[in-house]
Amino acid sequence: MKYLKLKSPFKLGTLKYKHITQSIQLSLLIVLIASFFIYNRAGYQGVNILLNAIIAIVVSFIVEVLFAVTAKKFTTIKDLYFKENLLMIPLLTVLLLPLHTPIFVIIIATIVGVWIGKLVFGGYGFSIFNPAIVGVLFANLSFKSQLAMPDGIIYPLQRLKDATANLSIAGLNPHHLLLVDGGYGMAIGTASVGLLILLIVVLSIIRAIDWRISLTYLVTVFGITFVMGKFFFAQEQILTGLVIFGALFLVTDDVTSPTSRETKIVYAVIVGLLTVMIRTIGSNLEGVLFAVLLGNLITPFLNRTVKRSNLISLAKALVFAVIVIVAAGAALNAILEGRIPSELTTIMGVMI
Amino acid sequence: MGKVINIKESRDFLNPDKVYIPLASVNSKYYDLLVYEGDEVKLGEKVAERFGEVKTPIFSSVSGEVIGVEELEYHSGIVVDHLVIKNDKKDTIHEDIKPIEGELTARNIQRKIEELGIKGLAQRGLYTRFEFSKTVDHLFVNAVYQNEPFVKVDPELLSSYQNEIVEGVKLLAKASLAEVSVLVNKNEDDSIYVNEGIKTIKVNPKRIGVWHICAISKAVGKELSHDLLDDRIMFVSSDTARAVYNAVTKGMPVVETDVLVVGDALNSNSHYNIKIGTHVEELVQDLGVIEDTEEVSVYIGSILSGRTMQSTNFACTEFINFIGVDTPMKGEPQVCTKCGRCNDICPVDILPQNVMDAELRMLDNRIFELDVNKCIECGLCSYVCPSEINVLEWVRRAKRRIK
Repeated sequence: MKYLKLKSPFKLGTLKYKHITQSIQLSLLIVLIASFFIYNRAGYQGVNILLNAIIAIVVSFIVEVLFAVTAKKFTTIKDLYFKENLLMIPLLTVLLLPLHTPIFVIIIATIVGVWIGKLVFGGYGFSIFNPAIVGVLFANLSFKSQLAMPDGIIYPLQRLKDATANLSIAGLNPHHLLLVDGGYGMAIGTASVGLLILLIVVLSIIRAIDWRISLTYLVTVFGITFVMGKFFFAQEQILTGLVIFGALFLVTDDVTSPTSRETKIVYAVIVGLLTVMIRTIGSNLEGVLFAVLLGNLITPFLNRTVKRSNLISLAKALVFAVIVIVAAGAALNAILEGRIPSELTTIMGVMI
Repeated sequence: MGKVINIKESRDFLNPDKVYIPLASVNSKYYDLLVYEGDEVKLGEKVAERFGEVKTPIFSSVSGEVIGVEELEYHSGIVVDHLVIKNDKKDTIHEDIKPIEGELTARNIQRKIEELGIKGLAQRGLYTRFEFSKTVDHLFVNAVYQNEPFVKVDPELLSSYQNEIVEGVKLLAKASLAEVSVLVNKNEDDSIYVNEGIKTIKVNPKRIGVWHICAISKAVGKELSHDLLDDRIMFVSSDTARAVYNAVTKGMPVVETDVLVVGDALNSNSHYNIKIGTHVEELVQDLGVIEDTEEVSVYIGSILSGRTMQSTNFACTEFINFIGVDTPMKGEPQVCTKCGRCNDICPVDILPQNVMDAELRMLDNRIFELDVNKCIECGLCSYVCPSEINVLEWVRRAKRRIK
C-alpha cells in the first residue's frame, strides 16, 4: 500500500466545472431546437437554423483543431469538448444572427469569434470579451447589406425603435411576445421569450448561472425604462430584443464578468444602463451586444475596485444601483421629451 | 455537498500492548525525562517534563514498564521522540492522583488545570489556547461534533459523556470568570445545558465550515481577528470541558480520549475510546483496510483544513480527534472561469479569487490591499471551486509573499 501526501481539503463540493458548462451548452441546444420548431410553424425555412448550427460547429471544430495542432497542445477530442466547450461559441453565434444570414457570414463570424475572440487569448477562461459577441458584432458591422432585413418585412424592433424615439409604445402583444416570436426576427435565439425565462430560473436553481447578475440586469433595464415611460413602455422594452437572451447567456458569462458579488451588481447595472441608452438615444437598433462588450471592457477595472466583500460594500453597490436607475431614468426621460435646452444638447452633441 | 458519513458504531480500544507518548511539542523539542528504561510506571504518573514557554508535565496513560524512546511522526508533521511504555493491562492508578482539596475557587481550578497540563485539546483551526493569563470576556464551548456535516455521529454514542461535559462547562465558567456559551447543533436537543442554566447558541452545521465563525461573530457583535484571544474570546472544544471535569473531580490528567477513524479505504467507520499514545496502525488494522487498495492518503483534523501524515505510523494524542484514511480523489484542476464562488463563500469576507489573481501576477501592493492576513485557512474556497483549483494554496502563497 502506498501513502500519498495530499493537500487539504480532502473532500470537494459536488458542483463541477463540467456540470456548469455542459448545462449551459445543453440549454443553448434547447433554445436552438425550440426556435427551429417555432420558425417552421410560422412559415419560415426552419431547416436553415439547424444547417447554420451544424456548419458553425464544424467550422469551430476545424479552427480549434488547427490552432491546437499548430500550437502543439492538441490532446484528445474529448478534452477539446469538455475543456474548451466546443459548442458554446458556434451555437451562440448562430442564435445571435438572423434567419436569413448567408452561410459565408456564419462561417466568418464563427472563425472571428473562436480565433480572435478566444484562442489568441489562450482558450476558454482567458478571454477578455465574450467571443461570440466579438464574432457577431464583426459580422454585423462588416456585412450590413447581407444582414439587412429583406424587403417588405419590418421587424417589430424597428417599429419599437421608432416608437421609443417619442416615448410611446409600439403596441406589441406581450403574450404573443412571451410565447412565440419574441417580437424580434433579428436574432434566432429570441424566438420564445417564455422559454428563455424558464431557462433563467432553471439554470439559477442548479447554480449554473449567477442569478444576481441576471436579476440585477433585468431590474435595471426594467427600472430605467419604467422611470422613463411607465409600465407598458418598460414591459415592451424588456420583452423585446436580446434583453432576456442577454440576461441568460451573455451578461452572466463567468469568464467575462467580475468575480465578487458587489462588482457583479455594479457590472450588471452598467450593462443595463448602456443597453437602454443605446436603444433610446443611440443609433443602433439593438443595444445588448454593444452594452455587454463595453461591460466586458471595464470588468478588469471593476475587479480592481473591490477590497473586501462585506456588508458595507454590498450596501454601497445596492445604493449605487438604485441611484443609477432613478437618475438615468429621469435624465433619459428629459432628453427624449426635449426638456433639456436645445443649446445644451447641440453643444454636447447628444443625438436628438 | 457529498455523501454524509453516519457513524453508528463505538469501540473501546483501551488495552493496547504498547503506548507511544510524544515527549516534544510543536513549540519545543526539548524535554526532561523523569523515568529510566525498565522502570515501572503507574497510570497517571508524571514521566517527563516538556520545555517551552512553560514547563508542561507529561503523564503515563497506562501502567507498565518503560521500554525506551523511539522516533515517530508527530501530529504537526515533524519527527519527535516518543516514550514507549509496555502495558501490563492492570491500570494501577498512581497515588498522587486526587481531587482538589478544599473549596472550588477560580484560583484553585486554574491551578489544577495548569498543574495537569490541560492546554486545550483541539488540534488546529479556530480553537484558542487554553490559558488564564489573559483577560477573557467570552468563552465558547463547541459541542458540535468535529467535521459536521460531512461526518455525523450518533448522539447516543456520546451520551455517556454528556454529564461530564455539562459539569466541565460549569467548572470552566467558574474558572475563567467569563460569560460561557455552548454551541450546539440546531437539530439536536439542548435541554441538558438549558436545565443547568447554561446559555446555548444554536448553529446550523449545514453551512459548511463557517457556522462557528458566524455564531461567535454574531454573539460578540464584531468582526473576529485572526487570533480570537486578541478579541478576548476563548474558544475550546467539548473535550476540554470533559478534561477539566476529570481534572477537578478526580485529579486525573488526560489519559483517555475519543477519536473517529473514518475513510472510504476502510471496511467500516467507527468511534473509538482509546488511551493516549495508541498507535494508529493498530486502529486501522482493527477496522481493516479494503483489499486491493493501492493508494491511500492519511490525514488528521478536519476534512476541509486537516493535515496529511506520511503514513499510519504515528501515535494518537489528545490533540487528534479525527483520523481519515481515504483513497485519493481523482481529477485534475481546470482553468479558473472566474465564477467567484470562492469570493461568495469566504467566511471572513476576503476575495480569494482576486488574491489568487494578484499572486499569479505578483502584485504585492494589491495582495496587501486585499487584507489577505485575515484568512483563517478554513479551506472552503478550495472546497467550492468547480474547477478543482486549490485556491487556499494560492492564498497561503500570497500570505507568505507579504509576510
